[in-house]
Amino acid sequence: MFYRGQEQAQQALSKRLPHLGVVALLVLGLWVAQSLGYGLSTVRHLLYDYAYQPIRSIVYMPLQSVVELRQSALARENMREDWLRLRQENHELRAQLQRLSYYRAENSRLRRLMDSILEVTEPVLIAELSDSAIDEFREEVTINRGHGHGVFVNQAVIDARGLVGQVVEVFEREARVMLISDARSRVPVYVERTQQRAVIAGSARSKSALEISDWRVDHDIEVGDVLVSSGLGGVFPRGYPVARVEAVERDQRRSFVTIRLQPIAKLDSMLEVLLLSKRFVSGEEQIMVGPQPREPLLE
Amino acid sequence: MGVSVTLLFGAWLLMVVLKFFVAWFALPELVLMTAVVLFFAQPLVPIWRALLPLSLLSDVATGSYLGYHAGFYVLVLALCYRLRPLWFEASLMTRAIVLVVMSGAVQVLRCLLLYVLMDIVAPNGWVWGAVLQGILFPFVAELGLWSVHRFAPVRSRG
Repeated sequence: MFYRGQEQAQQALSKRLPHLGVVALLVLGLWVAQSLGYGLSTVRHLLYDYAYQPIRSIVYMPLQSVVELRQSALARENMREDWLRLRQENHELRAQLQRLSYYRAENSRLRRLMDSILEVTEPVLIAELSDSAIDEFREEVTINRGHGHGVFVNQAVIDARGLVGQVVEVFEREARVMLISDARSRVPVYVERTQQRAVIAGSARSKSALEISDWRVDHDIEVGDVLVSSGLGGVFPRGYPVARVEAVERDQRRSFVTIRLQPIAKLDSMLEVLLLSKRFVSGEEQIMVGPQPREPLLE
Repeated sequence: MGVSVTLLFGAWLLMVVLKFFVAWFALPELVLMTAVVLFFAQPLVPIWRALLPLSLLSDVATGSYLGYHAGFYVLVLALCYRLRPLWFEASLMTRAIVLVVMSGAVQVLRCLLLYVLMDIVAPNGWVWGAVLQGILFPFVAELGLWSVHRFAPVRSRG
């Protein structure tokens, strides 16, 4: 009810202070519970799955349609160019595939000799982006695959070009992915050219940027070097391209070198991602040797 | 109650729409602005029945601690408690100064709380959130007061 008298209103407002106190106590309880490690994940997941996600889907539907229309219009313009590029890429990949089959067979043979289990990490699931929260320090995207599709926390995510990030929170039908450019993210890598190990961190200073902050000036690194995930730490599998060196600033007055990196994955413009999962292959598994083309390799 | 819920939910929905384009923490806190207006204009209506669920949804939307937004709203409303007579009775210049100071203070408090609770530093562009809050608050206040006058029953002093 609206009050005409200011004094009466101020008195009524004073009566509301106990309400504030009750809410403050409730909030303090929530904070303490979460800081003690009680994540209240069930409450959070219920709120997300049955309240926030349905509302957001309805609200974003027209916005996403506009974005998709714009992108499809742009894609139509570049279709011929894309087709030629993809055909070229396809030929190159088919050529590489011949070697890949050979390497897989050889790897399997060697593993069998060592009496070990072959552990491979493969894309298992394709997911589309349904939301993003990118504000330099925290860079996360939401994908339309969740617990019900077999997604799990710390699952590595890639796109067609390189490493994208890892799953940090899983809901029933969606999951949150922390991008490698998030300032909290750390990715163990090695320089492809020199095999030197390093840890890449997301940069809080600019959007979708990466950096290596603890290398001394005498380290061998050049512009154009590719950094590949090393598999250390157990979250990201080995061998996926992560970043390319964009600039190296050696200031002799300081002991450390400033390295600016560009992510190889298209973090800004990707619409689909692939989720990786480990698969254990026993030594007896038959691995095909050589390519199995369905059509001629070169036209 | 109906007006409060509609206004608060409308403000929250608008923030969800804007989140599609801009980071949540760089947006002006429309829900808080609406809550402040309702807090001043409708002192008897228990706005927390609507504000608490919405604050939890905001926590889920931003991936922050459950209770982060509710705590932030409690702090701001407690700070604003003594400003009610000032808002309705002070001169335009005084109100403008209070508005500028409060807009900045609210945004600083929001980012500080984010850092203290979750170690997340303020996103780039957080200043714009404060500026927009200062610019938008008179409009939100007018809309809120108009809605209250128009749709809520009036109770006179006598």
